[in-house]
Amino acid sequence: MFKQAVKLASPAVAISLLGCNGHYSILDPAGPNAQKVMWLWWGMFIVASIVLLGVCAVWWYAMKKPHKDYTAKEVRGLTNRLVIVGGIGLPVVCIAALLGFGIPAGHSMLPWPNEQTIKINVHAKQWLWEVSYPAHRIQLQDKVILPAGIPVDIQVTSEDVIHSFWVPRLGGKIDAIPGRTNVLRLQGDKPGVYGGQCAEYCGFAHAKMKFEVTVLPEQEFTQWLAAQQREK
Amino acid sequence: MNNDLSLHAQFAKVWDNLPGWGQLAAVNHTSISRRFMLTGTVFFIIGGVLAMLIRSQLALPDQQLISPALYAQLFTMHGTVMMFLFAIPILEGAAMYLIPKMIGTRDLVFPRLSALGYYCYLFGGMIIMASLFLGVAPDSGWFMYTPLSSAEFSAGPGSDFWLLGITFVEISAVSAGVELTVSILRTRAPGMSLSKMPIFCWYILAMALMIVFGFPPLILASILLELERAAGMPFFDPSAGGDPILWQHLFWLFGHPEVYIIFLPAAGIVSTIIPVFAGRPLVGYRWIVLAIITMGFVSFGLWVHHMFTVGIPQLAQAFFSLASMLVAIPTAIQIFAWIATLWTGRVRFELPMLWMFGFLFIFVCGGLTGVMLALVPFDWQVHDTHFVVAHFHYVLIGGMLFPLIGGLYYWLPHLSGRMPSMHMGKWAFWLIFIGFNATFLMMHLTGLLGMPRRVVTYEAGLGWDWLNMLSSFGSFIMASGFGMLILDVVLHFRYGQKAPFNPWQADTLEWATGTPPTSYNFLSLPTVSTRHPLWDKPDLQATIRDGAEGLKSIGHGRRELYGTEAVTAQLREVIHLPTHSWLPLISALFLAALCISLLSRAYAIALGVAVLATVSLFRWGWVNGAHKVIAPLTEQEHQRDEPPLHSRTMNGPGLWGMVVTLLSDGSLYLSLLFGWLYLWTVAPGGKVPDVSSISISMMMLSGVFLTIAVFVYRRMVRSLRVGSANNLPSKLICVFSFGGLHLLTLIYVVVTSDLAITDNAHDATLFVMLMFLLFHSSIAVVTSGLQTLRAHKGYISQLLPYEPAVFSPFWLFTLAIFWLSFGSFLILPLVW
Amino acid sequence: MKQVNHHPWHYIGGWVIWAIWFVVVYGGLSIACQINPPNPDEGVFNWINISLACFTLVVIVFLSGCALKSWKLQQEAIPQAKFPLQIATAIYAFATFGTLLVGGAILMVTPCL
Repeated sequence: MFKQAVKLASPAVAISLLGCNGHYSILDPAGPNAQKVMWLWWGMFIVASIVLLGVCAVWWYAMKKPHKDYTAKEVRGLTNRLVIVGGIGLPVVCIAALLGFGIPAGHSMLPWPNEQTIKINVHAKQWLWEVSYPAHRIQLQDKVILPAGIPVDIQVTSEDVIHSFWVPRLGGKIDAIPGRTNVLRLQGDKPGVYGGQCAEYCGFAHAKMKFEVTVLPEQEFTQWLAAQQREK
Repeated sequence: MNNDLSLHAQFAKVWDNLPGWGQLAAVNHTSISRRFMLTGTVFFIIGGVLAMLIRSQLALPDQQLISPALYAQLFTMHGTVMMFLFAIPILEGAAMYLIPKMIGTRDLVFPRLSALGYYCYLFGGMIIMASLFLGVAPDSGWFMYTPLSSAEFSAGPGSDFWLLGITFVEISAVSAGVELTVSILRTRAPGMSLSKMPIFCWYILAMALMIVFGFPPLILASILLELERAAGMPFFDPSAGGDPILWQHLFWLFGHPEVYIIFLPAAGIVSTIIPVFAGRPLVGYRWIVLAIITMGFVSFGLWVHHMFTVGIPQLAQAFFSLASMLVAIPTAIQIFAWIATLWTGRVRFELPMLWMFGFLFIFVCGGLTGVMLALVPFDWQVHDTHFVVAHFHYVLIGGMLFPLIGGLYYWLPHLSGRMPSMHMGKWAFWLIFIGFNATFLMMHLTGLLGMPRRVVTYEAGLGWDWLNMLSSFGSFIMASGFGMLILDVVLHFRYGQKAPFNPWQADTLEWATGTPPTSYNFLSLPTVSTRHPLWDKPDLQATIRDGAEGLKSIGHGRRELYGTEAVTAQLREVIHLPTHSWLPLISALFLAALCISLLSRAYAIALGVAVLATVSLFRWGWVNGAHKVIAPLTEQEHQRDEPPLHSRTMNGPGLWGMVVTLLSDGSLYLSLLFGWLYLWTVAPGGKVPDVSSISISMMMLSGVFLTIAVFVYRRMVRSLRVGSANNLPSKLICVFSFGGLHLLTLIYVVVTSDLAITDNAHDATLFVMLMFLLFHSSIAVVTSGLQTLRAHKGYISQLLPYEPAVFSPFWLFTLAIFWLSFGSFLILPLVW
Repeated sequence: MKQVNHHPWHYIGGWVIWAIWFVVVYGGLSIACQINPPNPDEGVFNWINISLACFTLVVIVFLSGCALKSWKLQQEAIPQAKFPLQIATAIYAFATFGTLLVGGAILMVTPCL
């Protein structure tokens, strides 16, 4: 019984540990922004694990090691060494490394002025997403179609309460706030269908406020645009 | 011996609580703090049950055990109960229990305020819990983001319960903050200068001051949101010049320091326990003091890291991101100072040390994910996912609950006089430790796989199923651990072995009170010359008990303790404390009635109860200070070899209490000013009307009257200081009259003003500012009127110059906020 | 420089100055971005970053001056007076570092985007 359960569960565990099957997985990126964050995560994860185990090991050793009498001067020297190396040096080095990778990554995700981008309006309301392509007068609901490899500016607004627009496999989230227009730069590289969801609690149907993002190869996207406009 | 016994009996007669129902009138810090801790434990159990319900619902995908509406109430109440009704009060309770004993004194400095604080906490907590049982609990999340919590989207009374109930509970937190600050600064044992203070007191001093500054932004935010809900003032409505982001700023301006308010006392417990079990003084005392002060300040500069996804300019996000990383340094300094203490000590591995190790592992893990979250691009991805849920449970349970339980086992002998046992305690530890990590470690992955917070359920097949199952399973292991812990503690009160004197061979004074302590802690008050009084003078307990130390006279029937200089702890005065009283309970009952009538929107009743509450609070003030029932002037008081009673001086604890309260009040005012500037400059629809709807000239006239009143009052205080009490009543009448004129003109300004308070946020903010001024001016004027009466009755005189000195800063504050408001709310927009 | 003495203010002075600096820089940035946001192409060489950087520099110089001064005072102080001055030195030094670290963003990040 137990063995069977293990047999059934282990592939699921293995897959989700790698984070590869998720419709919403941050660890399975399909665009440059999400990819950078994934690498940031794995880097931070490794360093943090080393620090955690190291600090706990030092603590345990300090607690269990055979006792020795220290002179006041030795105590002062040891304290200053431990505090300066561990208490100041360690965090400063970690922060510096983190910023060294983090600042350029964050920089590249910003909505820099760029004439190539496509602008898409997303208007959130309890509990659906109204998507429109202002240049092409196309309206969609709970569905976004993007061209692969081209940056897109999602202009997010809200009708009622605060929502948050999030496509985990493409990049970070941005809140939809009544009275404001927030811009999120996204880019999908791999054609496919990706899950999107509301990330800020917005009322009883928050869990159901989902949408789908389809990334099409550029040519198909152009065809889709044309087909949509012909329908009008 | 007989003589000693009678001395103890005499002390007990003065200090013990009234019997029977009279216990409700108790003000003694040991009694009150035990009630705080016990009530906090009850709320912890309630909060835990809510968590179990949440985990049951999430155990399987697509489950319909709990409806979305109920689920929203559950997670809102879980957060609210754990933060406001468990974490803060129980830590304050622990601090209130320990601080007077550690600094070698008999009670906290404002004992009746402790009692009021407790009742506000109890009644506020009961009101909030009532909403859950009535099925109308708040359901917009514990951070109550508007507009979801506004009247439009939360029409029921749930949000009102939260806003009014929590504000009520916060009275308790702030009053404890004020009281702890003044107690630590002004009643330490003679000789216990700041540099000789037990490290725990540094932590509590920082925590108390952080409460004083950190809670007012939320109090203001709650007032504004309640005004929006009940009276339609659109502070957070973008279509009327408001902004929902203002709520977030004010909330997190409180909310982030709150995390450190919770962490600091817990770290204080760690810093107290580790040296005791390492059998040596804490190394790096100065490093730790540095870290405490640094955390206290830097934690106020982090709040926007909860708001990285609201679309704030990139550079601003970078400031908060870097400040959030900066705070890792003082944390690491403390951890390595503890390691150094263990390294150079001879460690005894008792039960509390097991909890210390659990704390280290969990808290460091939470701290590391915290640094990750401070990185803006990473936060954009994992914000509001289960990664964050895992992170803050690591920080809060690791950083607060584990040290607290370690501290509980450490101080159990002090509470009960009995020793804890290692057996069940170990079981409880491992169940909680394993259960905790089973619940939350893999929850980081749940978040990385994209599961957002606060979803009532989820589809199968997203890779979240087994992770949620594991979390739910772990949470039940953890719950059974807590059950065992509670059982262990309860059983120990009956079956534990009798504790010897100072069972852990600790260095701090609380162990010299005897276990369990008497109501007056110390029969005579020790003088301290080192950081480790019990290590350096092992017979100290005996000399204290035998009355060989200071201030042992009791025949006068007053509750007395020493007041000392804030920095050097040189002996200054004898502080006499008010004794048990029903007034705190009565006042709290009226305040609770006010809260309930506001909740049910019965405004006529609310007005009536507000008047009653005001009367009872002024009555409380009337029989305090230098009133004849408290400390009548006698001949004997000069004959003993002690410094003067504080009500005969001008720099007593009341003045300090007033100043610290005004710091809190000032923080509230600055939050309002911030709100004003924010709505004016940054809010998307913010604008200032061209013509002021308030009469500038009448405001100026009102200000001139106020300035004269304050000038006369302060001159009167100055001449009292040099010993002259000439024409005291007539000077006070002069102050009262000019203050009254000021107040009348101000009321005239408010009445004749043309504010469209329900149409735009600008006018609504002006209205709140005017109400703020009116509130302070009224208190100042009424109090000065009462002081005129007191001068007639002889409670204020050349020999009793105490009260005007206490009240003087309040007048100055009233003056300052008046002209500051005049300049920034009325003149600045005109000249811009 | 008479700004450092034995007053207990210096237990917190460094961080109070840091806090004021922080509020001014954050508030100033928010308002500046409303009034006249610079073109993102200018990078960090725009009127907002440059004026914030100048202000930050002044604060850093002042804080480090205080740290130096209290360091000197604590070396000459009698043993009983050393504690507050040592804390003050460390607080001023740490606040200088804090200003430097947080202010470092001004040299690296474009505002208002």
